[in-house]
Amino acid sequence: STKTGPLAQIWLAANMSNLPRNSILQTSIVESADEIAKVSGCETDNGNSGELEHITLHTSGDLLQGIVRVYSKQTVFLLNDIKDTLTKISSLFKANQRINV
Amino acid sequence: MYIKRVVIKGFKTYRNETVIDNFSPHHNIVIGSNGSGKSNFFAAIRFVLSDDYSNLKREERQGLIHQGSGSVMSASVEIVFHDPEHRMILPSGVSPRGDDETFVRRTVGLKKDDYQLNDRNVTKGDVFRMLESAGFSMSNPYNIVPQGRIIALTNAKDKERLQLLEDVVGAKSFEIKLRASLKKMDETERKRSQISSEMEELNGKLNEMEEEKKELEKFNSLDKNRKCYQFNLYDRELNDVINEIERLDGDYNSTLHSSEQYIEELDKREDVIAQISRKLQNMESTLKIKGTTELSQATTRLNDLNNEIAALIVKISDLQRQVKANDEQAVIDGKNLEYLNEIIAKKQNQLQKISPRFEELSKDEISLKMQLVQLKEKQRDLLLKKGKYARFTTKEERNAWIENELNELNSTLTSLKNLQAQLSNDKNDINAKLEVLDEEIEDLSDSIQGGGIVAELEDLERELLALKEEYGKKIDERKELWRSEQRLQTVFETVSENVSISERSVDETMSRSLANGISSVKEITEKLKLPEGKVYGTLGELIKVSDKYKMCAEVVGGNSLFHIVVDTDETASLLLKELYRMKGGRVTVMPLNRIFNDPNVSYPPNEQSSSCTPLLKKIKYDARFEKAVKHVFGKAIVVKDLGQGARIAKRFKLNAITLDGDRADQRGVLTGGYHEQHKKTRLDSLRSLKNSRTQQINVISELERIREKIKDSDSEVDSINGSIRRLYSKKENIVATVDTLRAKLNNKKSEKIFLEESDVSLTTKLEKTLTNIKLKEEKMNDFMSDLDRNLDNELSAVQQKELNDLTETIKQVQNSINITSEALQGLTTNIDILNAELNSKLLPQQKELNSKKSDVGDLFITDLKDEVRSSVLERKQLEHERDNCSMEVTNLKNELDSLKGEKKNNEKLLDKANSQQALLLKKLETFQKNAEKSMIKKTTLASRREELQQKIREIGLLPEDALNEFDGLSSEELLKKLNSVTGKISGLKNVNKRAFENYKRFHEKRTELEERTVELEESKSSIQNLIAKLQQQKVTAVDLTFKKVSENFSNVFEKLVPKGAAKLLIHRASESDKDNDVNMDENPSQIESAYSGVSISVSFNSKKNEQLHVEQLSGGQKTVCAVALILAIQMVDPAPFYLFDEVDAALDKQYRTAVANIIKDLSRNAQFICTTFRTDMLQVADTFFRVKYENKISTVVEVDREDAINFLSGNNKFAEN
Ligand SMILES: Nc1ncnc2c1ncn2[C@@H]1O[C@H](COP(=O)(O)OP(=O)(O)OP(=O)(O)O)[C@@H](O)[C@H]1O
Ligand SMILES: [Mg+2]
Repeated sequence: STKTGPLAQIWLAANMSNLPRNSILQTSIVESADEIAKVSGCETDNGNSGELEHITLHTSGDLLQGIVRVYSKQTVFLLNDIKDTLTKISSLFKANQRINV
Repeated sequence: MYIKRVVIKGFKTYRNETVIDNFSPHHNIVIGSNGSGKSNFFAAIRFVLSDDYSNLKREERQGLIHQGSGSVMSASVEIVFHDPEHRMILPSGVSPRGDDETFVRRTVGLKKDDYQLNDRNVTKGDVFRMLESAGFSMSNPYNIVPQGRIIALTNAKDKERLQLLEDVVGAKSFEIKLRASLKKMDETERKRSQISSEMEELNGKLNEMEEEKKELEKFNSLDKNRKCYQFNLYDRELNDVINEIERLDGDYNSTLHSSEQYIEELDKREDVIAQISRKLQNMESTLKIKGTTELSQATTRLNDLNNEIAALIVKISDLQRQVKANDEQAVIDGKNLEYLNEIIAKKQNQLQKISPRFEELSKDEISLKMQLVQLKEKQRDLLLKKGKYARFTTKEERNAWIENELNELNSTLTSLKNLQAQLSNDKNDINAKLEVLDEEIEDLSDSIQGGGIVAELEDLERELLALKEEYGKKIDERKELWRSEQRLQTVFETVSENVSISERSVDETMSRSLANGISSVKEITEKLKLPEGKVYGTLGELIKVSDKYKMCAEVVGGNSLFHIVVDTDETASLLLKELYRMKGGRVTVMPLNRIFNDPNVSYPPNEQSSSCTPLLKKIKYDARFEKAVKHVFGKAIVVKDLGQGARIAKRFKLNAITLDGDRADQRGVLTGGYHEQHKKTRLDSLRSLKNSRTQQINVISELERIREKIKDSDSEVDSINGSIRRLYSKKENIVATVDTLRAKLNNKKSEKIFLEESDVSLTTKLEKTLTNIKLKEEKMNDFMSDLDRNLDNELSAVQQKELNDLTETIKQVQNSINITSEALQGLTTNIDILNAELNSKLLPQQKELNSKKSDVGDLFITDLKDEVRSSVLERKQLEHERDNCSMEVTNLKNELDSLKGEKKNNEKLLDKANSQQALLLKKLETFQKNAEKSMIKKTTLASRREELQQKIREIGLLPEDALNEFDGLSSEELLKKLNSVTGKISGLKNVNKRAFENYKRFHEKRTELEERTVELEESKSSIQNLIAKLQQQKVTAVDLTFKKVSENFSNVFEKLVPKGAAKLLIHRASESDKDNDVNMDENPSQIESAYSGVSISVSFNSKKNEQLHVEQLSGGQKTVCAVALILAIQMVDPAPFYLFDEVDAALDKQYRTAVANIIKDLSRNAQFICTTFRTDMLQVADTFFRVKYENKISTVVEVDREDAINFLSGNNKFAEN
């Protein structure tokens, strides 16, 4: 099944509860979304959708859940990073006030 | 994947643990009579796998747990799946079993209800997820058809059938997940809005940073030229500091150079001082020796000589006095003697006068006494008679009495007679003895006064004298020896002190273990008494080096100077073994027979020899040690300067060494540097040790010699003493013999006298006895006369008269006796006086005088005299000795004075040298001081230079042009410029120095974050359209599966009912709004399935018309439809296994066989477990199980096909349960 494929991360995200931070950051959601679409056979334009043995709805549901979870995690991380840099800058500002020529 | 084994315990009828094993992966049939437990078995499987028995109430639990005999509290069902392809994904934390088997167990008790996977407790959700992942939905399992439920499927409404279809497709779970993910999407939406707001804030902050950056740039430019100014300034200052330091170095060297000469001079002075002090030191020691020991010895000798002489003088004087006294004494004695003789003569003739009268008187007295006695005797007889006979009355009595008196008298008479005889022969032998005595006295007296004795005595005397003299001489000799021994002793002490000093100085130059190693080697050689040729001692001792080359020998030799040179390796090993046993430190031994000297040591040819000479030539050593010395010093050559030395060394593979100890090895390595020149070098210390030790040895030998001499002089003295003593003893015993003889003579004389007296007493006794005899005879006669007289008591008148005149005569005799006794008395008294006087005083005196005169006379006087002579002689000798001793003392004294004088001028010399030294030192100090001054200056400048360099480094890198740009300007202008720039800089507000970097960093960060937000944006949209697509997908999937199922349904139906036909119809929710379910909008309810239901239209007997509706069908026909539908679905979404509990109950033969066949070919890739009462199924099945039911417990047994058929057919016939 799709365990070893590109969607491995997603599938793991779906099933496993915790995920390493950098693996989440690395997975690009757009690609994986296309991949899922392709796998679950709803890509109409490439024509050969019919023959491929598509993954069952059940697994595609899983994958969807996985990808959503990764997406939310990414947003959370981004938010935190921004907050960090913000605090750093502000701390720097405060420090700046003190250093004179 | 299929069920391999089921284990049921305590579940309904399966009270005991029943194991139903090796299910076939294809088709299994469970048969058994009614109520035997078939449905229970199915119920057990459903209990574990399906959702029907979740959250059981108390009654339901009891319903499941076996009610019957025995207290069964819990029921447990375990299903073992054989899953080679691992279709079932085990939840995390559960370890897969090795043999592709997965254990799923559910145990339920009154309160307990837990699931276990491979013996690990897991939650119900885990089991659900796992089974779903294996393609087996637990919520509405179409593939488990409990008894009587088959028809339900066909009776279901279209909606339920749609749901079943969707389950098959997995649509439902998909929907759940879809809903969850949508919810998550909304959450992330909210977060993203937050992000955007944060981003704005970030941008704001960054703009501020930008302004700061601009400010910093301005600041930097200003700072740059400030730095240039500073750099130039510092640079200039640094240059002049550096050349200042050079100048200082220059003059420091100059002072150093000049001070060097002084240092050399100082060393020279120091050597001089050292020599002087050494001279002073040994002078002092000799002074000490002379001053203290010899002088004191001499003075002591002088004193004791003096007092000896004094003693002698005294002795001589008193001897002389004695001699004089003796002479006088002799004269006096002579006079006394004469006087005495006179007196004696007078006394004697007085005595003679008196003595005859005395004798006469005494004779008278005796005779008178005799008479008196006789008369008394008579008187008494008479009285007795008178009296005696008064007693006897009768004559006979009287006669008897007289007779025994007579006998008595006879006996006494006889006793008296033999007494008298005895007395007379006593008297005779006494006379004989007397004669013998006389002879003895005769020879005794001549032996005493004999000439032989005297002569003997004399030569004894002379011998004695000679011996004494000799003894005296020997004593002096010994005294002399003692004195010299004492002197040597002190010398020995000082020498051994030197040895220990030099030993300590040697020890200082080497390590402690080596030092005591060498000392223990010495001990061992002494202990083992190795002959001289064996152990030669340390190499240093054996070689002699001239002063000039001593330093190089020292440096080259190093520790090897302390190696012990031994002749052979046996002695070496002996030494080492002994050393090791004694643990006496560490030492290296050089056995001569083992040393290998590399012969091809080539010395540089002669023309270069001017600059270097082999060290070997400069060392003097004994030929025997040639090998050892070559071994150590062979390679060393002495060179003037080190550079050339190094070259030679390299070429000829030698060690070059300069005079002051710097070395250049053949490897070109230069070693050298500081050597303690002024300290005693090893060689000197070794040599001083050697010669102090030799001194010590010969002092010891001298001491030994003297001790021997002393010993034999002692022995001589003793022998002389012995002989003297022997002579004395001889003399004494001679004298003793003489005395004894004399004593003998005396006692002989006394004996003689005694004998004479005894002779006299014997004669008197004899006379007495004679008289007694006479008396006794008279008495006898009386008695005889009386005998024949008759007893008349009275005395006759005659007798009476006789009596009276008797008394009368008695009286007369009595008073005449008295008169004579008085006269006698008078006479005896003055005789006694005379005798007493004579005997007691005069005679002994005379005797004593005579004896003194006789023996004393010459003997005593002679030895007195020769003693006097000898003491005079001795005195002369002593005086002579005293003179030379005093003479010795005097020259000792003036020797001492001369030494003192010498010492004084030495000290003066030393002081002068010291003062010069002090002068030099002062000069050196001055040099020292200004050297220090310059050093201090140098250090301050150096620190200043350090500082400047540090500052320059701080300023950091500057572009080249900035450097020489301002060269032209003078330092003041530079300074002005610098101040102006610093003023400008201070004008700026607080410039954030690091603004630049910060800005850069955060700028990058911001861009990165922006990218990520954009990325998120994209991913959001992509997810959204993915969802839309999936929804679309779901719909198409449903369509697809519907088409497939309906297709399969019709085929299966075809097979089941060849004549009939069946179709599945699907109705859409509402035809009209078909398009709106495609585009997704926010509202979640929309995602409900687009269809409303699925209906079945089927006809049994004709293919074309007559589409009967399901409700109108019969039971059997309904079951056929249901089975067809199930099998159709199975083809689309194959469940791993199917449980049919009597599905074919309502079917007739034809259909049953059709169903069986379909099951058969489906069972190729799915597992079927069915119960039936018909034999058709059995034909096609693979394994058969028979459930037996005895006393409320059902057991399962595997049977083969025939039994099963017989059982079923049997069952049909007899219908027993
Ligand atoms: N909790 C329980 N404890 C003890 N016995 C029970 C329990 N539950 C059911 N039984 C017994 O099991 C029997 C029913 O068994 P089951 O339904 O499996 O029979 P069956 O083999 O399916 O018969 P049929 O062929 O009629 O279907 C009943 O006689 C009932 O007494
Ligand atoms: Mg039943």
